[in-house]
Amino acid sequence: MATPVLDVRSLNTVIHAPDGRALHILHDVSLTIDAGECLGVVGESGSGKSVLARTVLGVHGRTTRVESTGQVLLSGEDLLTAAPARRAELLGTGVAMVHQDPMTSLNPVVRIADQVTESLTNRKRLGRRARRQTATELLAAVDVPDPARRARAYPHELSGGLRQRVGIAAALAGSPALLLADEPTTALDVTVQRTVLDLLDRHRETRGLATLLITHDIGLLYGRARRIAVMYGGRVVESGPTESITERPAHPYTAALLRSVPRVTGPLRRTLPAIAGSPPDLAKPATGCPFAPRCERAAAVCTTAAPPVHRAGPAHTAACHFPLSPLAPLGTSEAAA
Amino acid sequence: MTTVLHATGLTVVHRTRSGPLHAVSGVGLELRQRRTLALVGESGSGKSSIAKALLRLPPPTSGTVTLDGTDLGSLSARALRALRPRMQMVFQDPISSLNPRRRVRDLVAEPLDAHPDPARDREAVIDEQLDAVGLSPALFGDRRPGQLSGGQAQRVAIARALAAEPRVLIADEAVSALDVSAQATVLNLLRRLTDERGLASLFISHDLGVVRAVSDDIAVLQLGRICEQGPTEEVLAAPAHPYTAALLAAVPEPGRPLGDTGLLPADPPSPLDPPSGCRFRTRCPLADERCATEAPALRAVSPGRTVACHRPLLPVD
Amino acid sequence: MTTVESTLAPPTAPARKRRRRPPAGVLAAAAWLAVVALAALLLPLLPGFDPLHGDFAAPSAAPGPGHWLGTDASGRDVLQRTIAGARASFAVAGLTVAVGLLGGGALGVAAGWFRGPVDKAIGFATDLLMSVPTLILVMIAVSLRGPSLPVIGTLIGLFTVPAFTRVVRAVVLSLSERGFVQAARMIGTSPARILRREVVPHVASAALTFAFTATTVAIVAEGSLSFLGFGLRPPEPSWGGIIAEGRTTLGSAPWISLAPAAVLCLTVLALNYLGERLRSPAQKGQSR
Repeated sequence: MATPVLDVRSLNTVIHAPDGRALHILHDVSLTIDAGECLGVVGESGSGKSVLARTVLGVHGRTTRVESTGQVLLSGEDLLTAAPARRAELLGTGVAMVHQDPMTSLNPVVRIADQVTESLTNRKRLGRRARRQTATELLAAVDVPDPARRARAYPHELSGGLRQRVGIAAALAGSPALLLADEPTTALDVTVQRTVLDLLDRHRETRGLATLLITHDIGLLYGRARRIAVMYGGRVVESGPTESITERPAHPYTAALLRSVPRVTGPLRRTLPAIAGSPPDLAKPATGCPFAPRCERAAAVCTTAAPPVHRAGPAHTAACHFPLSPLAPLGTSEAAA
Repeated sequence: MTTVLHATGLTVVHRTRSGPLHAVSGVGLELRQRRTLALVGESGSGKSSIAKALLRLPPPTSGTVTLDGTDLGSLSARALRALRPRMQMVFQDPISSLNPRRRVRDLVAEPLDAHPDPARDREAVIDEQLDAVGLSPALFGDRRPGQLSGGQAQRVAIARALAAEPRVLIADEAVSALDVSAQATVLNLLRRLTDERGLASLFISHDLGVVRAVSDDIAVLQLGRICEQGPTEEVLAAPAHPYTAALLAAVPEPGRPLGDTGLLPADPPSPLDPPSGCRFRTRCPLADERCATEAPALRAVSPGRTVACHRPLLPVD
Repeated sequence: MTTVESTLAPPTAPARKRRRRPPAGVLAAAAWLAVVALAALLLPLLPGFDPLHGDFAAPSAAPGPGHWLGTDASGRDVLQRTIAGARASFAVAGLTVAVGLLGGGALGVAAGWFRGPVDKAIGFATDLLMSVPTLILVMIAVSLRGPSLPVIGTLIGLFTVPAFTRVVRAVVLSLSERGFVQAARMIGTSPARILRREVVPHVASAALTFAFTATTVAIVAEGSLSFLGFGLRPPEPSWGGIIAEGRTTLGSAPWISLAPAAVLCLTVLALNYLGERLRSPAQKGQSR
């Protein structure tokens, strides 16, 4: 089997806040993404999904000290142990990021052409004409109408949807192997969101780009992500093929999340099944299962012992003491799956 | 069903450096007791401008708004202030709508403190409203907004609105910033309160799934004009306007195959420079010459349902 | 720090209450200011304290046991003069900040709250004030009215008004867009009450932070004026005046100038440092 583009193994991340508190954010997070594959990471606030992206990129606030253990392998090379110069090189050529808010991720006083080609000009000198030319091609590739004129524009002259497409063009410019998209369409209208996600899909397929799509909206992953990892309280609580997860969730949290999503299809529900309680407080270390305080199925063992990983289907696992369908504990009866 | 708030010919024009921006053009709305009207539209559709115009913060450029038969435009500043508690609004960002320095109890009591009423016991009112939104006064009363989750903060904002004893409750993208799990709680709450307290509610949102769960009627806005209006279930089951159909098709949902929106590949037009005729025609798959010259008027599809389209998806009278 | 906090669940009450110990720099700066302020307030009350008394036996004496910071050409104790100078410098600074805070605060709130023509008029007036060469105008005023402390303090204060106005206006502008101010309007709260309860407390923290900067501006400006001979008239000591007096003997008796100069520098540094440190929590409170 080919080496995955991104292979995160037992990643633990501890953030030392300036006030001296140590926050254990990520617990034993493992995931892989192959070339041309989209992995969806879904989670609510406090799930640690954004910290995951930042840990892969190695960017955290300047005043915070972050300790990560485990491995973050980019095409087989560990980013956590690489020398700073090598790490910068790996990230610079291999990974690109699409941000949530295209308004803040673009520099307001720099022309679009120069921002789109930035990952290229970091490595080699390009004349102004060459930059314009390259930028025009890149913008055309992301369906920006009238790309030659837009290349000369400034970010504020573009609509939100166009700006996000410029952000994608800038991310694709350096031909990365891995694209990290953290809530790339949250700030956009539904119809624009659709076109932007379609665009990401198209480039993922034609370029064989590995994509990590981080979102709070599980519906958005359907039909796009091949696999989904559900995060809660800094842990991956369930992961597996998209259809398997959305049709046969094994973790009570995933099931509750799917139930509480308001839908435009299906029977009309006047009262939505809400999840009681509040999201986990990452500052408070939880023993056992992080979802236990809000879980209908929780028993005493859930608050004391870390939940075992069960196999819920082909390549589908859930970390839970009382998963929703009768499942075999992972490793004991491989044949049953 | 009593009509509580009635708006006719609502027009809002903002003056901008690039010329006048027609945010809202001749919109009429009716809010009835124990009913929720959803106002749906994308950014630039003018949905928030309508909410502000109803509350006269600031007043609309033209058009009238009556609350229980009183024309709000005819009131003096003082009389309007006295009437304000009757119309309450809940905002998108719950944390910022609460003064970070104040405690939950004092936040909820703000309407009482602004309009003291000796007949109402301050502490009892606070406890009652916090209980109504499902927050224990003992547990949450002394917290500050920074110590609340998004869903809890939004419930405090709703409790504050309730303390004003409103007739009308406007929720402007009130659940958009919340987690899915908190979203369900707040939606259920809004629905229950509309019923129990006999409110006339306006629910502004871009999310059709959320709208379906909370509203009885729906009005779809496109660049400051209503393009389709009717009972929510009927409209979502069979949209009459191509724009409504496109919005519906674009909704991502687990287990629902990605449908075709049918939209032409054009960006939404700018409200500063709306297309002539029908404002949807630049993206509409069905548009013809007539759509470019003539703005469509609202026509009846069935009792209680109207659509403004030259080529509607359902037969019109 | 903010990037981390935003990703976390809201801190719970006990986590919030945990107090951070102030860093050593803050303690040092605060201690220095306390020592200078206490010395300036209390020492002049002692019987032996006389910054004008010349010890003719020891003119231009080097720092030593009798005179810790030496004496000046007239045999006056430099330490005593520096302490007395602190009084004048702080009095000018206090007056400056009072004028700037009240004037700029009122104008800033008016401009940010009413906007439109009021904002334009106030903006034009403050621009006009900023276009005036400050020191020259103070020199002219001092030449005409004499170098009294109220004249100098008020005038320097007048010139900090535009900066205060801008700081306050920006805060009020952003506040009036904030949800909780809109919510108060919607409830039907009267504008006066909104200003008093929702706006002014937030404005105050930003303005007070800036007051530290204004204090240092005033101390330095007064020092410069005195150095140029337009400050408080000798022998009444102020920091700038004392530094100016030592100017001619800088080669032979450098302590006369350098001692008060060092005190002035340390004080300005401490004020700026504290102001900068106070800024972060105050503005975090606003962004919340």
